[in-house]
Amino acid sequence: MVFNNILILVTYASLILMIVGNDRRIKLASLSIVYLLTFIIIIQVWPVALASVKLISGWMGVILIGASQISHFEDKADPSLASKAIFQLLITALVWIVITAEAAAFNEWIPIPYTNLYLGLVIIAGGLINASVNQLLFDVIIGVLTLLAGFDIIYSSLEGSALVTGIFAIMIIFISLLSNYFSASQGEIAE
Amino acid sequence: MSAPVIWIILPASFSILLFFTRRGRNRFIIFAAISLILALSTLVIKVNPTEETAFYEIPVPSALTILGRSFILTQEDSSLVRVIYFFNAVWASFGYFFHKDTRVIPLGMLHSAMLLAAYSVTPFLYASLIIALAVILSVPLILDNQNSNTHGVARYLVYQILALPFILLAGWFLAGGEITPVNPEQLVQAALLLGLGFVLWLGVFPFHSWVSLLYREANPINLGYILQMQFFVTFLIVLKFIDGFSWLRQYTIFFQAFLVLGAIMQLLGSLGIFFQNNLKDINGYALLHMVGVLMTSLGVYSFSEVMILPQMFAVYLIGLSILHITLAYVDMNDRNPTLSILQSDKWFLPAMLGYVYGLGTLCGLPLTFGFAPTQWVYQTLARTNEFYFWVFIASKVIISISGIRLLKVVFERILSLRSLIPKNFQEWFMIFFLSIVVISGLFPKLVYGTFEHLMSSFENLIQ
Repeated sequence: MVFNNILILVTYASLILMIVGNDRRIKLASLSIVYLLTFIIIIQVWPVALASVKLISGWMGVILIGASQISHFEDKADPSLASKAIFQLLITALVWIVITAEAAAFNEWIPIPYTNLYLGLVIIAGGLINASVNQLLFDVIIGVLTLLAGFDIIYSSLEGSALVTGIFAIMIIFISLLSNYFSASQGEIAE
Repeated sequence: MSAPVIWIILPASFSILLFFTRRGRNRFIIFAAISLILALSTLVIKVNPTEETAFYEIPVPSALTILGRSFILTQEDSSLVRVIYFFNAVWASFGYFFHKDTRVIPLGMLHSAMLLAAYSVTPFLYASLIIALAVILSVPLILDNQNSNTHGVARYLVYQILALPFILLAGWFLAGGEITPVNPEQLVQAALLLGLGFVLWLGVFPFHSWVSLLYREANPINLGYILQMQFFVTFLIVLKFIDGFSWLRQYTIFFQAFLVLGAIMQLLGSLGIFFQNNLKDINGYALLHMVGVLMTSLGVYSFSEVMILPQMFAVYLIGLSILHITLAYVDMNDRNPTLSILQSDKWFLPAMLGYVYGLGTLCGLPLTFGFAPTQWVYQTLARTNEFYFWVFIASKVIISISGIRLLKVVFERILSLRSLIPKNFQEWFMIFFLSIVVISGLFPKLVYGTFEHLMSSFENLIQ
């Protein structure tokens, strides 16, 4: 119970840093924490070897994105707008409140451990908010990866498939490579 | 060597090999030749033949197993393979003439192979995973990495990836009851999840905003290739779902939803075509309109028990290809082609006539590919549901008015017949292509025949 609560709190903290954070390094660190959390949750239902694929592919993705962003680490998204951060924080809180209220009902649809479902939904919502309220492709990619990590928690608790795990890992790497591909043009936007 | 190895693994490998070869015009020729060989190979390769094969026929098994899942391409799927690779060959020919540095030419075949893999994977619920991979791969094909405007591509990525959880979850819901769902409540939930997944995949209202944004950012010849092929295979996967689940075929609300959304998409697309000033936007809305027409064609199946979708696929692929290819001709000179350039000399007149012919095909005007299937949908809707009939008519009338408006400009520009004479090899090729399309439009049975075979894989649906 205590362990689950710690997991939930760490998830909240990392997602808030990701959504509100203004520094790309913080966002990437938050994403790597999300992957660590995914691993910790999935390891409870899957063998270590298969669960570690999620962690390794996720962290490889973070490294790939990080490598493409080295020259943009000092870029600030929009430092002057504190109101934007407050708005993002409020909208995230609102969505999480709805999830907290409805997670039990969802649990009747999807019979997996409550913590897994709850954390999966919270992470999906966090990723979706991050992808939708930011304009930079970097944020969109971080958001999409977070969304996929959240769904991975829910789907892995439902079904274990080597093909799904493999394709998910490839997807994470490919999405991260997109960040690399567009890094030149994103730099121009930041400038 | 099995059918999936020949039609999925080999083209994918060729595509990657071709990517690493030296850039040049030979790439286009090799790409077109391989595509054509693959398309023609469907005539001599017999998958799991039950009778003795002729001396020139090659018998091959249908399945390939990877990571515990099978990829199966049967003899009935050979017409799909033919359509896909013939489309590749045509596109490579135009790439050769109109756009030298396209990434689609080496990697487009990998994209096509992935779409075929998505179509052939068993259980077919995993198709969504491979579609998602194809979407991710398509991003660098659509957009140059120097392009700083990436709003459309970001939305495209998010919406397409968002469809994945819905389809996979629906698959899990249905895994226990492929013939009949466990209870009615579960049926509604699964249908909702599937519906949401399809709507996101196909850019259906209100998730359509990325289409016109993407059209502004990307080159029409690359984007047209990717989106046309992707939506085409996605539609076939939707048919596979309907074919695979008997309860879904008997669930009338599912087909009604297709009719409602189809009507919205048709109107949205036709109004977009009418009001937009940018030709790229017009192409985007034409795509949305055709998605609506395909949805309506599927929706009317519940009334008529006759599947008109294959013929409509022909209209969709041929009509939109004309629009994209003729626009690519303009895009060589002008990065932001608005309607005002029609009055300038930038556009080769026969290409402009081709564009109008493309719009006419989408409208279902006589002597075009669109005529017969559109008439059939008119008749069926007039008999069964007057509201959808009027929506269908209204959307076609709006597009016709747009076409007539363009035609007026064309006639104003034809000061002498000399302006219609091609001046270079590109223009001769354009004339050749348009002539073939117009002549085939007069005798469409041959083309419809190939597309009709697409349905033979869906035994339950066509019964």
